Amino acid sequence: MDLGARDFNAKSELIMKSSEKEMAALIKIYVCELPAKAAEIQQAAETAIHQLGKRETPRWAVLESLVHKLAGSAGTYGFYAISTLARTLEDRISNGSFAKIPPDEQALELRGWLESFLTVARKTATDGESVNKEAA
Amino acid sequence: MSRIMVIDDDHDILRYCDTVLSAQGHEVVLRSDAQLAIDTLKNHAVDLLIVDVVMPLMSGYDFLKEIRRQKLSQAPVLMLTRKNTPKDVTLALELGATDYMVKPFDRDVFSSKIESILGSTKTSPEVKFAAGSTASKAILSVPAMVVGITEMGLTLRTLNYVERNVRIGIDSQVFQEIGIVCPALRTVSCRPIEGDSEYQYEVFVSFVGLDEAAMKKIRRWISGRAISMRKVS
Repeated sequence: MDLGARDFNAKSELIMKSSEKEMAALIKIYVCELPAKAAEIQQAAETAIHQLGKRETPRWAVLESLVHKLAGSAGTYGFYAISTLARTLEDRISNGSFAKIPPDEQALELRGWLESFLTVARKTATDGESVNKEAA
Repeated sequence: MSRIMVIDDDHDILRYCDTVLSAQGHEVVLRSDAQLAIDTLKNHAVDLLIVDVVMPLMSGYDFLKEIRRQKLSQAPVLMLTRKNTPKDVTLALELGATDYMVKPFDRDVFSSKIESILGSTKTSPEVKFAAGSTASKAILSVPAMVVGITEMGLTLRTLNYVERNVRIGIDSQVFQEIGIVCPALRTVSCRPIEGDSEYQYEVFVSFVGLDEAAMKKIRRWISGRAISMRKVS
Protein backbone atom coordinates (compact mmCIF):
# COMPACT_ATOMS: atom_id res chain seq x y z
CA MET A 1 0.00 0.00 0.00
CA ASP A 2 1.43 3.39 -0.88
CA LEU A 3 1.43 6.27 1.57
CA GLY A 4 -1.30 8.12 -0.34
CA ALA A 5 -3.71 5.22 -0.12
CA ARG A 6 -2.91 4.70 3.57
CA ASP A 7 -3.51 8.38 4.23
CA PHE A 8 -6.84 8.23 2.35
CA ASN A 9 -7.97 5.14 4.25
CA ALA A 10 -7.04 6.70 7.58
CA LYS A 11 -8.97 9.85 6.69
CA SER A 12 -12.02 7.81 5.61
CA GLU A 13 -11.91 5.95 8.89
CA LEU A 14 -11.74 9.22 10.82
CA ILE A 15 -14.70 10.62 8.91
CA MET A 16 -16.66 7.44 9.58
CA LYS A 17 -15.84 7.58 13.31
CA SER A 18 -16.83 11.24 13.62
CA SER A 19 -20.02 10.53 11.66
CA GLU A 20 -20.88 7.64 13.99
CA LYS A 21 -20.27 9.89 17.00
CA GLU A 22 -22.54 12.57 15.58
CA MET A 23 -25.22 9.99 14.86
CA ALA A 24 -24.99 8.61 18.39
CA ALA A 25 -25.35 12.16 19.76
CA LEU A 26 -28.33 12.74 17.49
CA ILE A 27 -30.04 9.57 18.71
CA LYS A 28 -29.46 10.69 22.32
CA ILE A 29 -31.16 14.02 21.59
CA TYR A 30 -34.06 12.15 19.98
CA VAL A 31 -34.44 9.94 23.05
CA CYS A 32 -34.27 12.99 25.37
CA GLU A 33 -37.02 14.71 23.41
CA LEU A 34 -39.23 11.62 23.20
CA PRO A 35 -41.12 12.22 26.49
CA ALA A 36 -42.22 15.66 25.23
CA LYS A 37 -43.44 14.12 21.96
CA ALA A 38 -45.24 11.36 23.87
CA ALA A 39 -46.89 13.95 26.14
CA GLU A 40 -48.12 15.90 23.13
CA ILE A 41 -49.59 12.74 21.60
CA GLN A 42 -51.09 11.74 24.95
CA GLN A 43 -52.80 15.12 25.22
CA ALA A 44 -54.19 14.92 21.69
CA ALA A 45 -55.40 11.34 22.24
CA GLU A 46 -57.02 12.15 25.58
CA THR A 47 -58.74 15.17 24.07
CA ALA A 48 -60.11 12.90 21.34
CA ILE A 49 -61.26 10.31 23.90
CA HIS A 50 -62.97 13.07 25.91
CA GLN A 51 -64.72 14.38 22.80
CA LEU A 52 -65.84 10.87 21.83
CA GLY A 53 -67.31 10.48 25.33
CA LYS A 54 -69.36 13.62 24.73
CA ARG A 55 -70.45 12.32 21.31
CA GLU A 56 -68.46 15.04 19.57
CA THR A 57 -66.36 14.39 16.50
CA PRO A 58 -62.69 14.74 17.44
CA ARG A 59 -60.33 16.83 15.35
CA TRP A 60 -58.36 13.83 14.15
CA ALA A 61 -56.01 15.97 12.06
CA VAL A 62 -53.96 17.01 15.12
CA LEU A 63 -53.40 13.46 16.38
CA GLU A 64 -52.91 12.15 12.85
CA SER A 65 -50.22 14.74 12.15
CA LEU A 66 -48.37 13.92 15.38
CA VAL A 67 -48.34 10.15 14.83
CA HIS A 68 -47.51 10.65 11.15
CA LYS A 69 -44.31 12.48 12.08
CA LEU A 70 -43.43 10.03 14.81
CA ALA A 71 -43.96 7.01 12.54
CA GLY A 72 -41.42 8.45 10.10
CA SER A 73 -38.83 9.77 12.51
CA ALA A 74 -38.82 7.01 15.16
CA GLY A 75 -38.18 4.28 12.60
CA THR A 76 -35.48 6.34 10.92
CA TYR A 77 -33.71 6.77 14.28
CA GLY A 78 -33.98 3.00 14.83
CA PHE A 79 -36.94 2.83 17.21
CA TYR A 80 -39.15 0.50 15.25
CA ALA A 81 -41.65 -0.47 17.98
CA ILE A 82 -42.72 3.15 18.45
CA SER A 83 -42.74 3.71 14.72
CA THR A 84 -44.97 0.68 14.16
CA LEU A 85 -47.41 1.75 16.88
CA ALA A 86 -47.59 5.27 15.47
CA ARG A 87 -48.09 3.94 11.97
CA THR A 88 -50.92 1.65 13.11
CA LEU A 89 -52.90 4.58 14.48
CA GLU A 90 -52.04 6.85 11.58
CA ASP A 91 -53.28 4.25 9.08
CA ARG A 92 -56.48 3.64 11.07
CA ILE A 93 -57.25 7.37 11.06
CA SER A 94 -56.15 8.19 7.53
CA ASN A 95 -57.86 5.28 5.75
CA GLY A 96 -61.17 6.09 7.43
CA SER A 97 -61.60 2.67 9.07
CA PHE A 98 -61.42 4.19 12.56
CA ALA A 99 -64.28 6.60 11.87
CA LYS A 100 -66.51 3.72 10.77
CA ILE A 101 -66.73 2.09 14.21
CA PRO A 102 -69.02 3.45 16.97
CA PRO A 103 -67.62 6.32 19.12
CA ASP A 104 -67.43 4.23 22.31
CA GLU A 105 -65.40 1.58 20.48
CA GLN A 106 -63.18 4.29 19.02
CA ALA A 107 -62.55 5.62 22.54
CA LEU A 108 -61.81 2.13 23.86
CA GLU A 109 -59.40 1.35 21.03
CA LEU A 110 -57.70 4.71 21.34
CA ARG A 111 -57.23 4.24 25.08
CA GLY A 112 -55.71 0.82 24.54
CA TRP A 113 -53.41 2.21 21.88
CA LEU A 114 -52.37 5.09 24.15
CA GLU A 115 -51.45 2.69 26.98
CA SER A 116 -49.28 0.58 24.68
CA PHE A 117 -47.71 3.67 23.17
CA LEU A 118 -46.85 5.27 26.53
CA THR A 119 -45.36 2.00 27.81
CA VAL A 120 -43.07 1.68 24.79
CA ALA A 121 -42.21 5.42 24.79
CA ARG A 122 -41.26 5.36 28.49
CA LYS A 123 -39.17 2.22 28.06
CA THR A 124 -37.36 3.76 25.11
CA ALA A 125 -36.74 7.02 26.98
CA THR A 126 -35.34 5.06 29.94
CA ASP A 127 -33.30 2.42 28.15
CA GLY A 128 -32.32 4.47 25.12
CA GLU A 129 -31.18 2.85 21.95
CA SER A 130 -30.52 -0.58 23.40
CA VAL A 131 -34.21 -1.50 23.40
CA ASN A 132 -36.81 -1.29 20.76
CA LYS A 133 -34.37 -1.77 17.94
CA GLU A 134 -35.53 -4.46 15.64
CA ALA A 135 -33.07 -6.59 13.76
CA ALA A 136 -32.84 -5.40 10.19
CA MET B 1 -19.35 18.41 -2.73
CA SER B 2 -22.92 19.24 -3.70
CA ARG B 3 -25.41 21.69 -2.27
CA ILE B 4 -28.49 19.83 -1.09
CA MET B 5 -31.71 21.39 0.18
CA VAL B 6 -33.90 19.35 2.52
CA ILE B 7 -37.52 20.46 2.96
CA ASP B 8 -39.46 18.81 5.77
CA ASP B 9 -41.66 20.13 8.56
CA ASP B 10 -40.26 17.47 10.91
CA HIS B 11 -37.17 18.87 12.64
CA ASP B 12 -36.00 15.38 13.62
CA ILE B 13 -35.82 14.40 9.97
CA LEU B 14 -34.06 17.69 9.07
CA ARG B 15 -31.43 17.08 11.77
CA TYR B 16 -30.98 13.49 10.65
CA CYS B 17 -30.50 14.42 6.99
CA ASP B 18 -28.17 17.25 7.97
CA THR B 19 -25.93 14.86 9.91
CA VAL B 20 -25.85 12.15 7.25
CA LEU B 21 -25.37 14.52 4.30
CA SER B 22 -22.77 16.70 6.03
CA ALA B 23 -20.79 13.58 6.89
CA GLN B 24 -20.82 12.77 3.17
CA GLY B 25 -19.21 16.17 2.59
CA HIS B 26 -22.22 18.01 1.20
CA GLU B 27 -23.37 21.52 1.94
CA VAL B 28 -26.85 21.21 3.42
CA VAL B 29 -29.63 23.79 3.37
CA LEU B 30 -32.56 23.00 5.67
CA ARG B 31 -36.04 24.43 5.23
CA SER B 32 -39.06 23.55 7.36
CA ASP B 33 -41.67 24.77 4.93
CA ALA B 34 -42.04 24.72 1.18
CA GLN B 35 -42.66 28.45 0.74
CA LEU B 36 -39.40 29.26 2.54
CA ALA B 37 -37.68 26.81 0.22
CA ILE B 38 -39.17 28.55 -2.84
CA ASP B 39 -37.95 31.92 -1.57
CA THR B 40 -34.46 30.50 -1.09
CA LEU B 41 -34.41 28.90 -4.55
CA LYS B 42 -35.08 32.31 -6.13
CA ASN B 43 -31.57 33.35 -5.13
CA HIS B 44 -29.63 30.15 -4.55
CA ALA B 45 -29.09 27.19 -6.85
CA VAL B 46 -28.96 23.68 -5.42
CA ASP B 47 -27.81 20.37 -6.86
CA LEU B 48 -30.46 18.20 -5.23
CA LEU B 49 -33.78 18.72 -3.48
CA ILE B 50 -35.03 16.31 -0.82
CA VAL B 51 -38.72 16.95 -0.29
CA ASP B 52 -41.32 15.70 2.19
CA VAL B 53 -44.86 15.27 0.83
CA VAL B 54 -47.10 15.97 3.81
CA MET B 55 -46.40 19.51 5.04
CA PRO B 56 -48.94 21.90 6.56
CA LEU B 57 -48.79 24.98 4.34
CA MET B 58 -47.80 23.57 0.98
CA SER B 59 -47.49 19.90 0.10
CA GLY B 60 -44.39 18.47 -1.52
CA TYR B 61 -46.42 17.84 -4.68
CA ASP B 62 -47.49 21.49 -4.89
CA PHE B 63 -43.91 22.54 -4.18
CA LEU B 64 -42.73 20.44 -7.14
CA LYS B 65 -45.38 21.97 -9.44
CA GLU B 66 -44.44 25.46 -8.28
CA ILE B 67 -40.69 25.21 -8.77
CA ARG B 68 -41.16 23.73 -12.23
CA ARG B 69 -43.79 26.36 -13.13
CA GLN B 70 -41.58 29.23 -11.96
CA LYS B 71 -38.53 27.48 -13.46
CA LEU B 72 -36.73 27.92 -10.14
CA SER B 73 -34.76 24.70 -10.30
CA GLN B 74 -34.13 21.76 -12.57
CA ALA B 75 -32.27 19.93 -9.80
CA PRO B 76 -33.20 16.29 -9.29
CA VAL B 77 -35.75 15.70 -6.57
CA LEU B 78 -35.84 12.89 -4.03
CA MET B 79 -39.22 12.60 -2.34
CA LEU B 80 -38.85 11.49 1.29
CA THR B 81 -42.21 10.66 2.79
CA ARG B 82 -44.39 8.39 4.89
CA LYS B 83 -46.87 8.06 2.02
CA ASN B 84 -46.21 4.71 0.47
CA THR B 85 -48.97 3.69 -1.93
CA PRO B 86 -48.09 3.01 -5.58
CA LYS B 87 -50.43 5.92 -6.41
CA ASP B 88 -48.26 8.31 -4.35
CA VAL B 89 -45.08 7.06 -6.02
CA THR B 90 -46.59 7.38 -9.49
CA LEU B 91 -47.88 10.89 -8.81
CA ALA B 92 -44.48 12.06 -7.54
CA LEU B 93 -42.69 10.61 -10.56
CA GLU B 94 -45.24 12.15 -12.93
CA LEU B 95 -44.62 15.53 -11.31
CA GLY B 96 -40.93 15.19 -12.07
CA ALA B 97 -39.43 13.61 -8.96
CA THR B 98 -36.30 11.64 -9.73
CA ASP B 99 -36.59 9.14 -6.91
CA TYR B 100 -38.78 8.29 -3.96
CA MET B 101 -37.96 7.01 -0.46
CA VAL B 102 -40.41 5.97 2.19
CA LYS B 103 -39.95 6.93 5.86
CA PRO B 104 -38.70 5.36 8.00
CA PHE B 105 -35.59 4.91 5.92
CA ASP B 106 -32.24 3.21 6.30
CA ARG B 107 -29.20 5.48 6.55
CA ASP B 108 -27.00 3.45 4.20
CA VAL B 109 -29.71 3.14 1.57
CA PHE B 110 -30.37 6.89 1.89
CA SER B 111 -26.67 7.73 1.46
CA SER B 112 -26.35 5.43 -1.56
CA LYS B 113 -29.45 6.92 -3.17
CA ILE B 114 -28.10 10.44 -2.73
CA GLU B 115 -24.81 9.54 -4.37
CA SER B 116 -26.52 7.64 -7.18
CA ILE B 117 -28.83 10.57 -7.93
CA LEU B 118 -26.03 13.14 -7.82
CA GLY B 119 -23.85 10.93 -10.00
CA SER B 120 -26.56 10.70 -12.59
CA THR B 121 -27.65 14.33 -12.78
CA LYS B 122 -28.28 15.25 -16.37
CA THR B 123 -26.55 18.33 -17.68
CA SER B 124 -27.43 18.00 -21.35
CA PRO B 125 -30.45 19.82 -22.82
CA GLU B 126 -33.64 17.84 -22.86
CA VAL B 127 -36.96 18.23 -24.63
CA LYS B 128 -39.78 17.88 -22.12
CA PHE B 129 -43.21 16.63 -23.08
CA ALA B 130 -46.19 18.26 -21.44
CA ALA B 131 -47.48 16.13 -18.57
CA GLY B 132 -50.09 13.69 -19.80
CA SER B 133 -49.55 14.37 -23.50
CA THR B 134 -50.49 11.39 -25.65
CA ALA B 135 -47.20 11.46 -27.53
CA SER B 136 -45.17 11.00 -24.36
CA LYS B 137 -46.81 7.71 -23.38
CA ALA B 138 -44.77 4.63 -24.21
CA ILE B 139 -44.04 1.11 -23.06
CA LEU B 140 -40.65 -0.32 -23.89
CA SER B 141 -40.25 -4.03 -23.51
CA VAL B 142 -36.81 -5.54 -24.03
CA PRO B 143 -35.34 -8.90 -23.10
CA ALA B 144 -33.22 -8.81 -19.97
CA MET B 145 -31.90 -11.04 -17.24
CA VAL B 146 -31.68 -10.37 -13.52
CA VAL B 147 -28.18 -11.27 -12.41
CA GLY B 148 -28.13 -9.85 -8.91
CA ILE B 149 -30.20 -8.20 -6.25
CA THR B 150 -29.34 -6.00 -3.29
CA GLU B 151 -31.54 -3.98 -0.96
CA MET B 152 -30.72 -1.01 -3.21
CA GLY B 153 -31.80 -2.52 -6.50
CA LEU B 154 -31.20 -5.03 -9.27
CA THR B 155 -28.37 -5.76 -11.65
CA LEU B 156 -29.70 -6.63 -15.08
CA ARG B 157 -28.14 -7.76 -18.31
CA THR B 158 -29.66 -6.54 -21.53
CA LEU B 159 -28.98 -6.08 -25.22
CA ASN B 160 -29.80 -2.41 -25.11
CA TYR B 161 -27.95 0.58 -23.73
CA VAL B 162 -30.09 2.46 -21.21
CA GLU B 163 -29.47 6.06 -20.20
CA ARG B 164 -28.99 6.85 -16.53
CA ASN B 165 -31.91 8.17 -14.53
CA VAL B 166 -34.55 6.51 -16.67
CA ARG B 167 -37.57 5.08 -14.95
CA ILE B 168 -38.24 1.52 -16.02
CA GLY B 169 -40.43 -1.37 -15.04
CA ILE B 170 -39.65 -5.06 -15.32
CA ASP B 171 -41.64 -8.22 -15.13
CA SER B 172 -39.73 -10.86 -13.22
CA GLN B 173 -40.53 -13.97 -11.24
CA VAL B 174 -38.08 -12.83 -8.59
CA PHE B 175 -40.54 -10.35 -7.06
CA GLN B 176 -43.14 -13.07 -6.60
CA GLU B 177 -40.55 -15.19 -4.82
CA ILE B 178 -39.64 -12.30 -2.52
CA GLY B 179 -43.33 -11.59 -1.95
CA ILE B 180 -43.47 -7.99 -3.13
CA VAL B 181 -45.09 -6.20 -6.01
CA CYS B 182 -42.54 -5.12 -8.62
CA PRO B 183 -41.51 -1.63 -7.52
CA ALA B 184 -40.74 1.32 -9.77
CA LEU B 185 -37.11 1.29 -10.87
CA ARG B 186 -34.59 3.94 -11.91
CA THR B 187 -31.45 3.25 -13.91
CA VAL B 188 -28.28 4.20 -12.08
CA SER B 189 -25.56 2.88 -14.37
CA CYS B 190 -25.13 1.03 -17.64
CA ARG B 191 -21.84 -0.43 -18.78
CA PRO B 192 -20.83 -2.66 -21.68
CA ILE B 193 -19.81 -6.19 -20.79
CA GLU B 194 -17.63 -8.74 -22.48
CA GLY B 195 -17.79 -12.50 -22.49
CA ASP B 196 -21.57 -12.78 -22.52
CA SER B 197 -22.80 -14.11 -25.84
CA GLU B 198 -26.41 -13.18 -25.14
CA TYR B 199 -26.27 -9.73 -23.56
CA GLN B 200 -24.16 -6.64 -24.16
CA TYR B 201 -24.82 -4.33 -21.21
CA GLU B 202 -25.04 -4.59 -17.47
CA VAL B 203 -27.48 -2.16 -15.93
CA PHE B 204 -27.94 -1.35 -12.25
CA VAL B 205 -31.45 -0.18 -11.43
CA SER B 206 -32.42 1.30 -8.09
CA PHE B 207 -35.71 0.55 -6.30
CA VAL B 208 -37.94 3.60 -6.08
CA GLY B 209 -40.43 4.09 -3.25
CA LEU B 210 -39.98 0.83 -1.36
CA ASP B 211 -41.21 0.91 2.21
CA GLU B 212 -39.45 -0.71 5.15
CA ALA B 213 -41.67 -3.81 5.06
CA ALA B 214 -40.71 -4.51 1.44
CA MET B 215 -37.05 -3.78 2.21
CA LYS B 216 -37.16 -6.33 5.02
CA LYS B 217 -38.59 -8.97 2.71
CA ILE B 218 -35.77 -8.31 0.25
CA ARG B 219 -33.12 -8.49 2.99
CA ARG B 220 -34.58 -11.76 4.29
CA TRP B 221 -34.74 -13.21 0.80
CA ILE B 222 -31.14 -12.20 0.11
CA SER B 223 -29.86 -13.63 3.35
CA GLY B 224 -31.86 -16.80 2.80
CA ARG B 225 -30.25 -17.86 -0.45
CA ALA B 226 -27.41 -17.38 -2.84
CA ILE B 227 -28.50 -15.29 -5.76
CA SER B 228 -29.01 -17.31 -8.87
CA MET B 229 -29.52 -16.01 -12.34
CA ARG B 230 -33.14 -15.59 -13.23
CA LYS B 231 -34.62 -14.96 -16.58
CA VAL B 232 -36.93 -11.99 -16.88
CA SER B 233 -40.17 -13.37 -18.12
